[in-house]
Amino acid sequence: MALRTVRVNMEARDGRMSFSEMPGMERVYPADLVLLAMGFVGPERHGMLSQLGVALNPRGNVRQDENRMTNVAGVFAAGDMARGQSLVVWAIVEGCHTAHFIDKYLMGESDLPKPLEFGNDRRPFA
Amino acid sequence: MGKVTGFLEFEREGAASRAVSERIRDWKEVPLPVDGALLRQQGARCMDCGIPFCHQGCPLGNIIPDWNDLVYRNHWRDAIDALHATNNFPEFTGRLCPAPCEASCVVAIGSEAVSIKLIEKTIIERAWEEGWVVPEPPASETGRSVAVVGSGPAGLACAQQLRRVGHRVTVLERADKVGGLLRYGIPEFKMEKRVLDRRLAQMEAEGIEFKTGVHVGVNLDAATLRAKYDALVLCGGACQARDLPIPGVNSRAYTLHWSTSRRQTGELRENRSPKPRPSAPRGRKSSSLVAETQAPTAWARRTVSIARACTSLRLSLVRPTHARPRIRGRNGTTSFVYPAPTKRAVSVSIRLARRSSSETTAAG
Repeated sequence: MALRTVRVNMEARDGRMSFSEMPGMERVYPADLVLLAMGFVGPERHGMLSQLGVALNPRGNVRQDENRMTNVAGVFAAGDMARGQSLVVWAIVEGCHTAHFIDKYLMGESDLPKPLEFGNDRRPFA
Repeated sequence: MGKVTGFLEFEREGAASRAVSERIRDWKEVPLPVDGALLRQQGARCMDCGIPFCHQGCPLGNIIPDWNDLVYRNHWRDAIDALHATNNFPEFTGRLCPAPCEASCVVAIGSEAVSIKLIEKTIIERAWEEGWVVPEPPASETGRSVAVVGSGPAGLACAQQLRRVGHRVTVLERADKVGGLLRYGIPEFKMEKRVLDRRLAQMEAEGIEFKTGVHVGVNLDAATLRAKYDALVLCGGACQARDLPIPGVNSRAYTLHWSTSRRQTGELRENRSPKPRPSAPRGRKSSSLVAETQAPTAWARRTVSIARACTSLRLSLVRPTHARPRIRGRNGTTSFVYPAPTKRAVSVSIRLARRSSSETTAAG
């Protein structure tokens, strides 16, 4: 078993990355095991999301309105499912922020904080 | 702020790491605890800057200068209250967060940033030791019910907030244990699972109900669930793995890092030593391995342990990088190979091939 690789040039075209293979730059790496750690592209669409009829945004994440609610009444979303793969600190802040709107939905008003309105939603690691 | 002249007097210092000879023999966290005096000095470095950008750098809006000052003044009890005011789980962020607060620290303009993340972690660890972190059940019940689907950091934070204002909260998790990525994504050496378990115990004592083995959409109909609760919050994460459409990718030799990490975590919990080579062919003395990864952090989390059992380890990156990781294996033969960094953007795409017999000889 082996892994064959080829070097590529990476170019940005219209804001999208494209790769072109460089001829003669192939290499073969013998391997007993290949680990794929290529990240995640978004929430799993089958099962829960499709059963609920939850709509997605253009990036493939769960779409929310300004009250963090999905297109299904009473169904909210938080964390990577709404934001896409991100940091633990964003997950926590999204959970807290969404809790405010769930509380408000259930009780009509809420005293819980809305940390995403501290002006922290346009930060470098977003 | 801390001491007025603190940032002029003291240098930034971090936690020391456990000796390599010690930590390669176990799976525990790497940094050593820091002593209180050192931490007070680090807190003293927080200057009276006009606009503490760390507030905004932190997505949670942690009021960082306040607890830096409280640590400097030795008011640890007040420090944990100030920290918990904005952050439900400082022990997670104190270990795992890449600390955008430190990137925004004003001291960092002319010197090195205040050790905010270390201070955060030490405050919460001290609080746990002192018994200051106790369950905070709601004063009264609202009679409303919420189901949280997914028990990762987002689900847990949401559940705790909602429970503390009196809603009946049920957290549903499809895995066998609660925690999501905190349990099955973060390796033991970055955050020991006891850290997660003690927080879950607090949440349970607050009255949050956890149900494991419940996979909404698979063994529980989503519409049925929706009808049972007053509100539903989806915190299922972004678990759709990126596809690699190449021939042979379904063979046993390919494995998702994610599945390896999940299995290892399970084995650690049962106090078994994780098998370093998850699905490599048995009966061979040596094994070589290729990790196909997107970001250096991804392999750093996991491959170190796997690498120990391999005679060679190669890393292939699809984007250019300036990082130059090097790992040496137990017998000194493990090496790390990168595409050489060049001025042009160079990366590697991959195709799978059957190794011919001549290549086997050459590699052997």
